[in-house]
Amino acid sequence: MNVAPTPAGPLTATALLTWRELRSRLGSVWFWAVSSVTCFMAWLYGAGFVTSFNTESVIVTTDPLLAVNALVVVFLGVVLGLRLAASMAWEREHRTLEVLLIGPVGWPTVISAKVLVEIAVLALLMLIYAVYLAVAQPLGAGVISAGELGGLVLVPVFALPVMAMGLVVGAALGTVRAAVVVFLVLFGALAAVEAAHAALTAQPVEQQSLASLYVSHVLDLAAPGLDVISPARMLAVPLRALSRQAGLVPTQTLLPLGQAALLIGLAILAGRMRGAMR
Amino acid sequence: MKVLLLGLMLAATPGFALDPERREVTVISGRLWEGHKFTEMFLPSNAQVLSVMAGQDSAISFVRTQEYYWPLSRQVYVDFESQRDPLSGRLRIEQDGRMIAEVEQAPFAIDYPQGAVNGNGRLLWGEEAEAAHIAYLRSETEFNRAFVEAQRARTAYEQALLDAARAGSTEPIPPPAPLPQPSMRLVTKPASGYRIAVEPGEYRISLVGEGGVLPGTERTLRVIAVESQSALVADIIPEERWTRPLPANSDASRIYARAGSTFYMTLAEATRFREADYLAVVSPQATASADRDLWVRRQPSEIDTVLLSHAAGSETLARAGFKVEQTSSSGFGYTVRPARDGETVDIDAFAITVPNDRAGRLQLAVTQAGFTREVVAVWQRNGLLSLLLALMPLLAFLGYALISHMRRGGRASGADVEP
Repeated sequence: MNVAPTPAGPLTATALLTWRELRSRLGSVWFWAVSSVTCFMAWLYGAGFVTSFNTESVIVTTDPLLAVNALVVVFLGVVLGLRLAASMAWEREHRTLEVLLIGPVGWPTVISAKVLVEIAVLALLMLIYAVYLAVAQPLGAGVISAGELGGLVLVPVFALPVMAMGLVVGAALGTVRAAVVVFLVLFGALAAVEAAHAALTAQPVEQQSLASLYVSHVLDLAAPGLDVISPARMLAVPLRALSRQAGLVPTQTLLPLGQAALLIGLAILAGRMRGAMR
Repeated sequence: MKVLLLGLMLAATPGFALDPERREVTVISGRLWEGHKFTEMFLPSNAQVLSVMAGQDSAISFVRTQEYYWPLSRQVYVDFESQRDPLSGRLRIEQDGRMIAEVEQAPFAIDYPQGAVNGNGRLLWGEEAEAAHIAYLRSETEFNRAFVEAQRARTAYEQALLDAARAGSTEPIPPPAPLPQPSMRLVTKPASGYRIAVEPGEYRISLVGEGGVLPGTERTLRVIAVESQSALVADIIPEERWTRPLPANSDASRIYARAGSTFYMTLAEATRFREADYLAVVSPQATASADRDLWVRRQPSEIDTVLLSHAAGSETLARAGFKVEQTSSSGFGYTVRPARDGETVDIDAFAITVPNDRAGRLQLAVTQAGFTREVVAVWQRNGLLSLLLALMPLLAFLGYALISHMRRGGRASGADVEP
């Protein structure tokens, strides 16, 4: 008696695709190199922190890791966003997406699997980073304890919108080169707006030219809109926490989570409209 | 000689001064409640929103004055000295197009029972304000008279002691009564204003005269239910920078100190506000951050002991006076030492010495005030080891890949020699 194979459900298919991709990621030198780079960033930052005690006897801060955590998340957000953009476009360029979509796998499954893989990669990289901080104590013996490590729990969430933006770009474009260029240009433009706004806000009003005051005013007016649409603005939240000297709170993660969900939906839509062909 | 005269004339020529353009406008001058005292402020003619804190009355008045823009600070200023003409009428307060109240102008005074520095004042209105101010002036006059009389009695007593000593008399001379202690109370001179005492919310205000609304007096009134909180805050004085204390405002502020160093800590009573709430009231032209807190220091705390806990146990630290001594040479530098009896104290603080024996973290606490601050001793790190650990993920993977490659190579070559 012949038994026809039962097609896998969307959840099973997503899990299978995710697992396959994750194994591939963990088996690549890229993952471990990025992990070492994040740890090296902490080591470099720690060198500066320890050196500052050559001239200062006291530093008062809510969390000495605020700065390096923010930088690590910016780095990981951009790298993983770039990988997502390239990965989706690569599938289309090499016609593997076509093969996947002919089978019992739809766009939501493909996109979900891509996102889940990169979220798992982000979580693993942050875990290795946390273990490094606790074991190597790059800021000096005994400086990093559970209190300081607690700041790592929420900070990765702010990288999700940039990663999702990479997914949208990859889902909408046909070649890896185009996806990489468009992602970098798009992110660069949004980051430049954010950096300009931060620089103008930090500068005392009396030291600004009239032109910079107008630009600052325009950016102030645009800020609520950018909160919703700009992933770079979400990535800047940990940096702003540094200037406020206040740790992140759970309610602050709602906006990046919402923005990431919105962009993932947009990626599914863009993929469907663009189709599997180049 | 001619050249010298020309030079002197040029030097004596007045330089060009920037005289900003002034215009006569209507501004709001206010004595607004800021959670501790009544702060004096003005709302420029181009600012449409007047923010006040709920919970206490505030007093405002509408004034015709000279207003000018000062480009160096990018702010608008007023010249009350050259013109200050208060406008008269009734203050109309409306909400959602409905009139809530019409307030008549009335004299007001601020009563600070413990002096303006200690805050907790209240506004007095109408006859009560006038009567309180008169009573205050009377008590001040009485105090001055009593003080002068007491001083005279003391002078007479000292003279009598001298005379007795010269005459060789041993008759006891009764000492005079002690000098009277001044009262800290302050009641300000009554001024005219309109009372703002409404529930939190947004309103429209305007000044209404005989001919209707006076031009330039319409504004939005925002009454904020401010979330403020009394707090005990700390200022950390590093030994090497005693004039630049580092604020440690909340329990989340940790103090990272070099192992073996000593720092000093002062405590102050403060009020915590959302920065946007506070600055909108006291400084309407300032740019405030919506998501930042602000601690306004009120006065030094009276607390004189702090509990210091560490791994070995706990001990009580007492507040003490310290003297800062500049180095006698021409170079920078100073030393901090405990003040001797009779010396003027430069730092009245708790001295905290960070242990040099890897004792771990310290905790400073004032239990009754819910105050804690964590002190972390910072040691030198093992730079080489931490660098190797940073590179470990990559090195471990490369090692694993190399071993796998060698094994695969070994298996492949083994397969080649099989018969």
